[in-house]
Amino acid sequence: MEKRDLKLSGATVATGGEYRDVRVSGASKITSDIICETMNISGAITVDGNVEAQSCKVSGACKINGNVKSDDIKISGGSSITGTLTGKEITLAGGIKVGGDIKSNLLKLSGEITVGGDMECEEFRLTGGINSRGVVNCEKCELELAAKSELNELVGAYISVREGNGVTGGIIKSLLGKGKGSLKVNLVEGDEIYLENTTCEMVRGEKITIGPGCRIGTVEYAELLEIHSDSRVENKIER
Amino acid sequence: MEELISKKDLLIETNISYGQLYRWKRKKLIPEDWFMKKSTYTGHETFFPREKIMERIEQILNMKDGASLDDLADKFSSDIPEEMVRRKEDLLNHQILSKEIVSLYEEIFKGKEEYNFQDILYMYISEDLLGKGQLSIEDMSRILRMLSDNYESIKDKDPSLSVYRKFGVSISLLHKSDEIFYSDQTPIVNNYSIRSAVEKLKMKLI
Repeated sequence: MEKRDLKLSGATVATGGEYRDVRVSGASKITSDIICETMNISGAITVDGNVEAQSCKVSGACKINGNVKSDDIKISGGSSITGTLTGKEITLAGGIKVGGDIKSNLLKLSGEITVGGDMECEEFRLTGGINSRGVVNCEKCELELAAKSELNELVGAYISVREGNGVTGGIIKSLLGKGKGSLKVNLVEGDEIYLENTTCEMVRGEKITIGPGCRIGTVEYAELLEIHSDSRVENKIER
Repeated sequence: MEELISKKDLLIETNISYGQLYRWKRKKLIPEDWFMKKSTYTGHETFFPREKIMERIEQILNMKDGASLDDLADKFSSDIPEEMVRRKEDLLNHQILSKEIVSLYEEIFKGKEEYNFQDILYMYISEDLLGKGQLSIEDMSRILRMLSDNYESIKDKDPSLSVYRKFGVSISLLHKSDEIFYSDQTPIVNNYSIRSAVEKLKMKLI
């Protein structure tokens, strides 16, 4: 049987199910799990269920009470997802809240992002601020911070944390008005690490460069350690 | 209690980097529950079950050339590879299963030419357990039914099998590996790890 499209606008209530293209706008509500090829929701949409789609685009102030699984996920605005996000390419922009874990090849975040669970990806790029009690594990991680951020653990191969500058950093900073971008994290472990404005109990790695504005408890390094004169490291241990 | 190794010592002993360790964790080559957080006088430290992690890292390092990480991940995961099928001759020629066990199953699945991974796994476990001489074929078919009904929901929890017998009645338990506190009978099958059976079979097949 040919799958149908689901097109809604206004304030409608629909049940989930299997569709081809889903396009919902306004203040509608989808009351159960939905499986489709393309999902496009905008406005103040509530989805009470899991979403599985080839591509999924969410904008506005949507709320998804469930997990989202899709190759290509783009979420912008002030949306929130209570469950996990699984994809190949995930872009979150704005004031997004994710309750569970995020798993993706490429993860691009901008704005002020809150994540309840862990993040696992091959490439992680952030401009703005992030708050997560979970562990970030990624091959390559580049954080450009424009707001106060907090993570539990940041681990992987290549890790770089910088204070955000340039146009995007400036705009986000003036919007958020939270002073300079900084990171508080319990543990950083990686092969190559560069940190700026970071407060951390323990940093372990092969090549470590501590840039300006850092307060570090202990650094354990193997090949290289450089510390900016403006930063403080309590203990240095060569492995 | 199994011997543990700290993350720091592991990296030194195996000469791998943090990047490699976390890459393998992401690819599920190293199970999440092997990363055990414990507090020490220097703060939190991660420990691993020494024997298991050393063996796994050796396997990964030895196979790395040629095989991609995703291929390796398939090999180590507890998932059943869905597409795999093998003919009876392949199984016998590559000495994956013995003739006895295949002919026993042939009687049950009459006329079946190709076996999928699940069939092969059940034959493999049967061969292992029946070979010990303590279980009857009837016991075995009950165990396999229990396993196939529940495998999906327990596969990631490191399941093990123990079997007890009293007055000729056998009782089978599927439980988390190494986690029976005490029993007043000596099991005839003791803590048989399903995960390691799946892994061993995958090593032979893939």
